[in-house]
Amino acid sequence: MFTALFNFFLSNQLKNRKTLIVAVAGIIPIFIVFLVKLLQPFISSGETSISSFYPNFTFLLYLHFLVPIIALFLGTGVIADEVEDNTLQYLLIRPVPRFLIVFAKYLANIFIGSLVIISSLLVTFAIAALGSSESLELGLSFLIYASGTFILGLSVYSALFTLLGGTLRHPMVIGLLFVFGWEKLITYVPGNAQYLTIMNYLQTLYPVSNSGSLSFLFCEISTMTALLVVSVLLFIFLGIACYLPGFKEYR
Amino acid sequence: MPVYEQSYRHWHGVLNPKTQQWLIIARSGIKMLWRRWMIILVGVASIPFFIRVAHIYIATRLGDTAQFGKFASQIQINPELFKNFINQQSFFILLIVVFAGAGLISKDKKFNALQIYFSKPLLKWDYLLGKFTIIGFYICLISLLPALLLFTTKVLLSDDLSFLKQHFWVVFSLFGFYLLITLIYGGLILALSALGKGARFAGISFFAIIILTGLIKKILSSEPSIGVISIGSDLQQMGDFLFNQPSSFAFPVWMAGVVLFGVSAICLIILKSQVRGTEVVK
Amino acid sequence: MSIIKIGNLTKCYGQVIGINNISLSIEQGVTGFLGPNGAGKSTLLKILTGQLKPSQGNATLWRESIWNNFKLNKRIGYCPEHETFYPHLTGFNFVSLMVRMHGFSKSEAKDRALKAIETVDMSEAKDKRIGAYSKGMRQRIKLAQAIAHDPELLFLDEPLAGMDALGRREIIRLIKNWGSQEKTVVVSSHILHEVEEMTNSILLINHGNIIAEGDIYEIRRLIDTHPLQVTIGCDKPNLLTSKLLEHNDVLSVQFDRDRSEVCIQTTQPEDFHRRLPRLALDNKISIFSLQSPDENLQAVFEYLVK
Repeated sequence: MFTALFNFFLSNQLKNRKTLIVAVAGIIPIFIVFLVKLLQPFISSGETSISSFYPNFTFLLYLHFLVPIIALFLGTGVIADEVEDNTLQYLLIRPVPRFLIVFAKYLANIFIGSLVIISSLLVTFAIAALGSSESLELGLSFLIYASGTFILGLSVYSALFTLLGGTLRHPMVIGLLFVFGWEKLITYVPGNAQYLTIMNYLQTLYPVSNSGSLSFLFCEISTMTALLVVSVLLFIFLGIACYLPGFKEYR
Repeated sequence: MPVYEQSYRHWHGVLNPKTQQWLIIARSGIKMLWRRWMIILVGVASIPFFIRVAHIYIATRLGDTAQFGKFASQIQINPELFKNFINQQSFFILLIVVFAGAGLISKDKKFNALQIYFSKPLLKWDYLLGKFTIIGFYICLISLLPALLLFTTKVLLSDDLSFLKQHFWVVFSLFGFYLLITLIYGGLILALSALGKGARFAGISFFAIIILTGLIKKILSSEPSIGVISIGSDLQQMGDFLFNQPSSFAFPVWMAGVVLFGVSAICLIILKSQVRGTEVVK
Repeated sequence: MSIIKIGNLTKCYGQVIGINNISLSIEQGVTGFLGPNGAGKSTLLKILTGQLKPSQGNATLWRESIWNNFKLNKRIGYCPEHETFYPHLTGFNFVSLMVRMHGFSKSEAKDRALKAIETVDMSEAKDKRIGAYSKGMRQRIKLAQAIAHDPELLFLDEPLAGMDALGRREIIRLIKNWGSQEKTVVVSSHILHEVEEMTNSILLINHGNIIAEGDIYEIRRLIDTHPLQVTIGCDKPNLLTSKLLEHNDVLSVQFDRDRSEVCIQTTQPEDFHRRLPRLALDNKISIFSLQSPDENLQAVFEYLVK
C-alpha cells in the first residue's frame, strides 16, 4: 500500500511542472559557479581556490537558500496542493490511512528535492574543481557531509512546512517569515537565542571550519547534540503533520 | 440579405472603452484583500512608524542634538531618515507584495477568469493597471503614507517652516522612490503570478529571486560591481540618488537604473504575453 | 438488509446547516438523491464517503461508522462531482495507480484499469494526458476510477454531467446494470428525467431536509393536496366528460375539441384508473391516448420543493 502511494506521488511529481521549477532552482548554483570559473581571470579577488570559495559558496547558497526554499515549495504543497486542486478526495476514499498519504507524499518530495540538491552539488563541485589541484581530498569527505547536512535540512524544513501547510491558511507567508525573518534575525542576536532556530543546528553539522567571515553565525554545539535535536524536531514535525489529517475535514 | 440569413460577421470597429475599468478592478481587489491577515500584517509593519514618530518628537522638541555625542547624527532629522525608513520597511514590503500579489493573476488563470475579463470591453492594460494599483495601495500603506506622515509630523512639531522650505523636495523623492519600488516589486510579483496557476509558486519565486540576487552579491563580495545584480541593492542605490545621499554601493547609479529597467522590461514582456483571454492547450 | 444507515444526522458549516437531522436507510439497488443546487446532496455523499464528519448523529455503512475508517473504502467507489484531476497523468495511469492503492498487484491493477476503461468506452483515449481530455472524457475516467476495483457500494455525484446524449444513455444503462448485480448505487443528481430512468427509488432533499423518500409513484399518490391530472384522447370527448363528472373525485374537466382531448383532475387516481376502462367500454368510447403529465418526478419535485 505504501509502495503504491509512494510510486503514485513520485510519478505524479516527476511529471509535474513544479518539479521542473525545483530543478531550475538547482541549476542556479551551477550557473553561478560556471560564471565565476569563467570570469576567474578577470576577478580581482583571491577567493577562487576551491578550499576557500567553494565551502562558503555552498554554505550560503545551498544551506541558507536552496534547502529552505525547496523545502518551503515542496513542503507547503504536500496537503495544500491536493486541497487546492481538489484531488485530495481521490486519496481520501482509498483504503489507506490518512497519515500514510501525508508520509508517502512527503517522502516523494524529499526524494525529488534531494536528487536535485545532490546533483547540483556534484556538478558545481566538478566545475569548481576543474583545473584545481586540491580537489579530490577535500572533495569526497566534504561532499558526503555536506550532502548529509542538506538532506537532513531538507527533511526537517519540509516536515515543518508540511505541518504548516496542513494546518494554516497561509503557510507560504508564515514559512517565508520563519525562514527569512525569524531565522535571519536571530542570527544577529547573541547568546542562547540561537538555539531557537533550526539553521543553527544545521550549521553545526555543516563541514565548514568555524572561522573567517562566517564565524559570527556559529554557536557552540556539539555535532551529536545538533544531530539529536534536528532528528527530534524532524520526528515531532512529521509526526504531527501526519497525525493531524486524521481529524481534519477537507471540504 | 435578411437578418436571419446572415451569419456571424466580424466587427471592424475600434474598441474605445471607458477608461475607469482599472479602478473597478483595483477597488474590488483591495476590498477582497482587506482581511484579518492583511490587517495584522499592516499593523505589525506600522510599528516602526510609531517608533519614528517618537524619535522625531524627541529630536524636534529637544532642539540641540549635540548632547547625544556620537549618536547625534542618527537622531538628526534629515532626508536620510525618510529614505532609511522606507529601506527598513523592505522586509514588510516584500511580505505585503507576496501576500497581496502572489495570487492576483494566478488565481484568475486558475479559475479561467481571464476569459471572462476579456470578454468585456476591457483592455489588457486596464487589467494590469488595476492589479498594479492593488499592490501599490498596500505598499503605500506601509511605506509612502507613513513616510509622508513622518514628514508632516516633523513640519508640525517644528517651531518654524525652515525644515519645510529646505526639504520640501523630500516629498517628491518619497513619491519617486515609492513608485520605483511599486514598479519593480509589483512588476516582478505580477509577472511570476502570470506564469503559473499557483500563488505559492509566485510568492516563493519572488522571495527567492530577491534573496538570491542578494546572496550572489554576498558570495562574490570581493568584486563590488557584482552588487548591481542584487535588486534590493539597486533600489537602495536609486533611493540614495533620489534623496541626494552618498551612494551606499560601489557601482554607479546608472548601472542600477539599467538593471532595474531591464527587470521591469522583462516583467512587462511576460505580462503582455501571459495575460490573454484565450488559453493555448498543447 | 440496510447497507447505509443514517441516524439523526446533522452537519453544520459554522452558522449554516448543511444537513438537518435526517434519518434514513438505503438498501441494495439504485437510489437517487434528488434536490436543487445547495440542497445538501453532495454534503450527504461526502459524509457517507468519510470525507466529512457529522456534527451530530451518525452515518454507518454495513453497521460500521465511516468517519476515519479507511478500511471500509475497500468496498466503496466514489465518483466526485467536481472535475479535478492530475492533469499530467494519462487516463490509464491514473486509474491503474488508483486501483493499486486498493492493494492489488501491478499487473492486476493494470488489468482492472483496462477493464474499467473499456466499460466506460475510453479505450481509445486511455493513453492521452487527462489535461487534454474533453469534459465528457474526464467524466468517464472519473467513473472508471470509481468502478475499477469492483466495489460493492457506489456513490456517484452528478455522473452524467458533461456527457453527450449517447454517453448519458450508456451510463444510465451501466448504472441500472450495476443495481441489478446486487450492488448498491447511490446517484446524486438534479436532472430529474434521467434519475427517473435509472430508478424508482428516490430521496428528495431540500435545504438539508429529506422531504420525500421512496418510490416515485407512491410519493405522488401521497401528495393529496395536488390532484392528479390526466389527459385522455378519445372520439367522444363530450360523452366522456359527462360520464366522468358523475363521480365526486373528479374536480375539474377541460376539453380540447380540436385535439379531441379531455383533461381532468382527480383526487383519487387509483379509483379513476380502475373506472376508466369500464366506462369507455360501456359507452363505446374509443380512447386513443392516455397521459398523466404530472405523474412524474418533475411534478413531484415541483410540488414538494416549491
